[in-house]
Amino acid sequence: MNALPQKIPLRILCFLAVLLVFQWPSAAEALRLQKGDHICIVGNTLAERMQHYGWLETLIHARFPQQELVFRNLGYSADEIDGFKNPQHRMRSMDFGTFDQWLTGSAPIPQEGKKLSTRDQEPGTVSEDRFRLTNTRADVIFAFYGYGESYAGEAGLPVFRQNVEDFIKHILAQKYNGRSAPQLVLFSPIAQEFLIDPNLPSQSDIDAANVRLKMYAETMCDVAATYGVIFVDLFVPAQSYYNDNLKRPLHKNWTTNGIHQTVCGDWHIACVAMKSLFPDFVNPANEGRGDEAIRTTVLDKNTYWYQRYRVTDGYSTYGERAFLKFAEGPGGYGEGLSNYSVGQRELEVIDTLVTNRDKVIWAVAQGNPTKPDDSQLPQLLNVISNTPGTQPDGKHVFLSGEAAISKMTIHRGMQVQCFADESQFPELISPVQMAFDTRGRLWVATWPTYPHWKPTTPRNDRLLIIEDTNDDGRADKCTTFAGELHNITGFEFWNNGVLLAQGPDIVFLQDTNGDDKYDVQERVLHGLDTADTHHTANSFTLDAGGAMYFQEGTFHQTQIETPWGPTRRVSNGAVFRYEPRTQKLDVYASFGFANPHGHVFDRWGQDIVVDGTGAQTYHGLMFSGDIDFPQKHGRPPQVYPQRTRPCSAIEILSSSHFSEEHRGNLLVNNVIGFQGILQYRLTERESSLGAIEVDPIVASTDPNFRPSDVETAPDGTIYFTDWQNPIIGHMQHNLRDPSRNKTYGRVYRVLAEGRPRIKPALIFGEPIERLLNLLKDPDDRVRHRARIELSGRPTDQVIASVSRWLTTFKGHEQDHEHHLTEALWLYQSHNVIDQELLKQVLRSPDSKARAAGTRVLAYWRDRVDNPLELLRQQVHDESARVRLQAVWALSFFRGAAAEKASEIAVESLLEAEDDYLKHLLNETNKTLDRRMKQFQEQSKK
Amino acid sequence: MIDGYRFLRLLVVLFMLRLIFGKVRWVLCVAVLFAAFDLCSKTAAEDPPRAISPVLKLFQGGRLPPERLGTVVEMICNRGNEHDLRVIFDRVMQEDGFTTELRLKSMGWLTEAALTRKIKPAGDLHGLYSLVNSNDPALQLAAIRLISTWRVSAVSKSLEVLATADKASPELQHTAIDGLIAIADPESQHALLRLAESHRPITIRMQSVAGLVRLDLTAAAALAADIFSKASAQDNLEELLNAFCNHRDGTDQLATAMKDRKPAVDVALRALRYLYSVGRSDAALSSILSEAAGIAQDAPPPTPAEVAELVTDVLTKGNATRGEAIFRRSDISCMRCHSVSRAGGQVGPDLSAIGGSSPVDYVIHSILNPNLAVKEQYMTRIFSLSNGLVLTGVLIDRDENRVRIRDGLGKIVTISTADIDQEIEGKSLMPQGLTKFLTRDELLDLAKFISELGKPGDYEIRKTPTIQRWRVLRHPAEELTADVPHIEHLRQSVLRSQVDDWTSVYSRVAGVLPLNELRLGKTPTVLILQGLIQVNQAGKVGLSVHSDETLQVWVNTESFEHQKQFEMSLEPGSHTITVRVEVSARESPELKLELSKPEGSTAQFDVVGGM
Repeated sequence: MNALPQKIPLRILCFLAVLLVFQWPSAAEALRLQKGDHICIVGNTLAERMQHYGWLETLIHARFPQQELVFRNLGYSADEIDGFKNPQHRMRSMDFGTFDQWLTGSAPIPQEGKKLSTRDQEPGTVSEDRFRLTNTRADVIFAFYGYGESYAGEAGLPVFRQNVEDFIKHILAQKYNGRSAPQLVLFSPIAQEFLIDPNLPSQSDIDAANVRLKMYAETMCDVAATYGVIFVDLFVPAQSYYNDNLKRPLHKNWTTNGIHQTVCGDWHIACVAMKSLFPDFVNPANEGRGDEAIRTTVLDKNTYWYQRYRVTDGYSTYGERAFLKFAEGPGGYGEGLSNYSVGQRELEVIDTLVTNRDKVIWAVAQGNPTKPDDSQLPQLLNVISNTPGTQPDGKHVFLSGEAAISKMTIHRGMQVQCFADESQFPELISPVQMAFDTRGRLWVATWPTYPHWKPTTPRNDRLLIIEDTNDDGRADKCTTFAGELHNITGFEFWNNGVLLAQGPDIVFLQDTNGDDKYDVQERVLHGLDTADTHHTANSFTLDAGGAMYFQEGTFHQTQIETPWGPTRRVSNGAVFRYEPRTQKLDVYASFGFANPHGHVFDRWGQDIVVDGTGAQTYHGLMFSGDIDFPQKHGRPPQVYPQRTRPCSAIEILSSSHFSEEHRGNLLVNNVIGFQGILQYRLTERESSLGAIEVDPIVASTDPNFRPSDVETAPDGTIYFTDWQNPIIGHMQHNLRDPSRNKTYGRVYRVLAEGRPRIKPALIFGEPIERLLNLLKDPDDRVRHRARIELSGRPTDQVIASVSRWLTTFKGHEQDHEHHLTEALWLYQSHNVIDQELLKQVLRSPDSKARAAGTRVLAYWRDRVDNPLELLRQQVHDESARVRLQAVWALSFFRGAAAEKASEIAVESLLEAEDDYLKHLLNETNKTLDRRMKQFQEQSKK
Repeated sequence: MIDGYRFLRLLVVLFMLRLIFGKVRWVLCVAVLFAAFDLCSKTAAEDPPRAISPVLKLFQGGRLPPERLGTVVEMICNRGNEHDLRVIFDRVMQEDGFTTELRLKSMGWLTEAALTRKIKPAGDLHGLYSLVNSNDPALQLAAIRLISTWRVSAVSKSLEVLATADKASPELQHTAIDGLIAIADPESQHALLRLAESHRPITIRMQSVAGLVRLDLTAAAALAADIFSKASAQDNLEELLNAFCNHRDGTDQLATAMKDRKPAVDVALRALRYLYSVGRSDAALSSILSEAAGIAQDAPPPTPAEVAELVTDVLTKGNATRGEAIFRRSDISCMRCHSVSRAGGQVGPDLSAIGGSSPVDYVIHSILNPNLAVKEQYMTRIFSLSNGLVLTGVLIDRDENRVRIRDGLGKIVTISTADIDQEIEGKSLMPQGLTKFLTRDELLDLAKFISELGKPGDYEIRKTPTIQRWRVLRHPAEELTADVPHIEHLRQSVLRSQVDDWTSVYSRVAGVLPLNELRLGKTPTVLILQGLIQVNQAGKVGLSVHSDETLQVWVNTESFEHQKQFEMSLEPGSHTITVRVEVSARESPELKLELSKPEGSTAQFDVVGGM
């Protein structure tokens, strides 16, 4: 090709080249902050967590008190740098708002405003611009990316480089503030921290991660330099801190899990950033204690901002169901207020609360402390019920907790008692989940803010401890373990504390001084979608091996960072599996649920998951094999055909207080039409599970009766909660319909007449040896609570005891094989591998133990010798259940092992098959086929 | 690599070569041999790449029990590449490669692979041609389906001949025309046009035109309009209508073509009902059919004031008893999609408890404007396919190869991912416009009935189990109707009947089966009805029959001729309750069969199909 016309002299070309070089910004400029600048923070979980600790914001305010800067944190768990153009790397529920809309602080009414009612369109009801008060309008952008991206490794670098370039070009081409391109500051990921904890990634894992992260940090640095963008390296300072830290006598970690900063980490990151941005910056003395006053105001502002940016019930606030509109007064749908107008006004109130707090921050920074002035808030829209009650003031009629029993039909030979209600404990409102702790006390999560917090009202969801201290069958003491919470959609005890849903987070709360009020709080998971709060992380349950499960429904888009690998992502329905000890998190069942609501494990670790909306029940094994995002599992056969819907919770009634005919039965709460608790006898059906319906436990004709949870109590009776709501449904009534219950809540218990209650087992504080003996108890919940207690004991002591315990077993002991399995589960729960014990259980004479062992093997596959050969043995097991479990386990292999796993999985066809095995084999093979193909392609490269 | 066995063989060949060529030098022999070996190893190296080698190994390994062969072949067809499929195809073509049953199934799976995954066996496939003319009818049908799915043009001519052959069975004709539709080349298109000519039998015409929709919509619409104008209400127009519904501009074009050739009143009415019953209310077609049928045009969704007025009227004037009768009317087809206490269709939500959670105007809106609010499980998706088809249904599940949806008829439809041009969120499958078959009073009654469902009272959730889904023998044999049959007759004509011999009928919510709806124009009409219960745990079950008609009851084969109330011990398993009833001239003859658990009984049972 003849590129250059001959006539242009070489000298001119050289001159042009030199000019070009000089034109190209070669060095980053310094950050210049103008008075009133808006600084928006975007990025992944590191960015998101910054708002909860607030150090960088605080130090900048402290340095520039007169500049009156506005910070808005738009960080979002697991966002990646190409998220602005790739929705799979910035997953959001419908109409959340685009990357640019948020930074501009401007967005039209979604769906072209077509669906607003005439009432909504009255002047002054709905703003044309739904972000007009967010105060984002970025002048400066702090961008934190690179952690999740780094898992693509060296091979992914070219794509990453391109993405960083595209990101920079995109940002610099915008005028978010309406006047000029923003100043962009690009932050590298921090190095992954090695924590001295055998349950977290090992030193060699960390070294490998840091090789990766370093490449990504350097690439960011490189591209930033090319474009003259300010770059802050957090990687190198983090790594050198970690190296020094281990040598310090009282070392403090930067992170909780290797990747997510602690408050200490946040402080150091802020200092590193300040030094990099303002070279004359000197670390404040006393770890910034002098700036605590500013930080307090920053955190207060951020608390409100978090409720704004991450408003829960998004699907009904700006998504599809925002545009449902209702009659004002008796009726249903009408041209009255929509969810949208009501919800948006609430957001404007929060925006104003946030803006009022910006002023407080400035005042404190300038040395004139003041309180926020919230006297001029926008007026909330008043919602009139479309289903008023029959009382003169439109209130509904409620029976007392005691009187409501007269409306119940109770199973013959059983009796219902009111254990607690709102008349005695006014804080007992809308109970959503309950559980018994290791002292045998009932804990109840209440949800008065349901469906989510309304600004200007208290944010007062609570975790209550309700006790019957004199054992007269009626509660007499109620303690608030935690208040001022929001949307506790589920909780479970673990390690002397409690794991609790606070969508979009899961937090761990602990009481360390024994006053029954929590004093430790830590966010352990981020990024759970809350688009529809009653689809949000719910039905918490632990399996016998110490993993915790929770579920979410359709409309939801969840993305979570973990120190164990690439971001976990899932759309529209899933069950999650979280190992709190190792902090491993995986999508357990990715399936097209409507809204799963209920999960139980039976005595042998087989589980049932119910899709609440339609009350379809599934054997967990059938759709929890490993699968790669965005694939979802095919629809498996159900455990039984349901006859009514919807279901709120399930439980296995394993209690010797009840007669033989009820033991092991599945209890199924149903809340519309049939309002009560159905009962099913579980059976084995070929390789899977089946169930047949037997007489219900209880059914009520009280229209407000909504049994929300059910659990077997320490005394062997059945406890169930009643949400007490005259209206139910999100589509039929405005989210803020005043007929939704904000006052009532009950706990009942069911006794078997003429049979003694069980003496509750002593668990709390008992020596490990006693706890181990409780693992022999026939009642599932006794063993469950013993395992919870053991989860909080030191691993070395537990393992030493259990290995001694194993030697005391006599072969002829009844349930010997189950005890062995419990021992194996205890090893699993404490994350200690015992291959000999595993092999013993895998070849147990009891097929149920062999199946349970096979499940453990799947989770230990990276740490036992020849896992595939062990599975080959299971695939030829004489029990169809064991074969089913083995085919399931084989789905977890990837890379070079996928082909062999597939080979072994198809070997199961040499044994007898049934429809379940066939279905699962197809599911497993679909996953393995994809991985084999991927592996072949990668190997070719 | 060369193993010991092969090496031995080499040596033998070497000596043979030396023998043959006598004095030729060893060197030459070795050269020839190496050339041959090279050739062989090349063939080995060219062994085609397998997508699913583990399964294929199992198939070829000979360890597989014969009863599992089917599963493995199905897996290979579902997941293998063209070379894997070739292995199956070769076995199918082998006369005794598979059992007859497996051979047919395998051809079905190969058809499926071609349809969903767009994949066919590697190499020459003309061998299949011989089976198109097979004497075995089942094999012939399977071969036609397969070869036309592969779009082997050469068979078009044969298919056209088969479609019109006098001796061909209706099924063969049907399959042959389907084959032409699948091949879809110009020659097949011409053949279909010839088959659609007006002198052909109407069933052949309809099917051919349905196939032409995708190939030449304008011509198809004109032909269809002609067929509609000549059809009678007895003709089954569903397939033809479906073809137009499933095409992007299908119903519009058909409506245009119908302007000049309007169908007869009863044909138009029937077409309109069908259209609504599958969840379609396409404006142009609905309008022209309504006009031809002489009924009202679609009304716009009601205004708030109208709804408010309707709500008041439903509460004051609506009659739930009459409403239930309307709900059961076949022209409104509510029960085709909705069930109450599990009795009815499964396309839309079960309505057993709807009144318990939904106010009256929610119900009214759901009838008049079903798209206003759709529960998450019933939101449809609309798939536009590259061949012009547009399919709508509720998503069941999906993977990279295929999407499964449940359509307006409750049928599961599999769509190949490769065919999807566009996928968008749709609306409800519930049709708008159904209510034009109702007077205003009837609408009030219907809404009243629905809003009472699940509320305490006559329409609460059933507590006493009754038989809600009965099946009735379509054409009861003479020996069943003439007199009370002998037990052997019962065994032969009832208990050994086929599923297709029956049709389902549903009791009212209160458990009563109105027998008037089942009269066959004779008085008395003798009906053979049957309910099914599944006993899960053995024990005593009580039965009580409520009816003023003369009837006999059998539980399995045991007769309870003159007893209206009795108990019997049942073992786990499924049990039939057969009732022979002589429907009298009484104004509203009824039957109700209640089941109960006598005091102390250990029985646990479930009524199949609703209780």
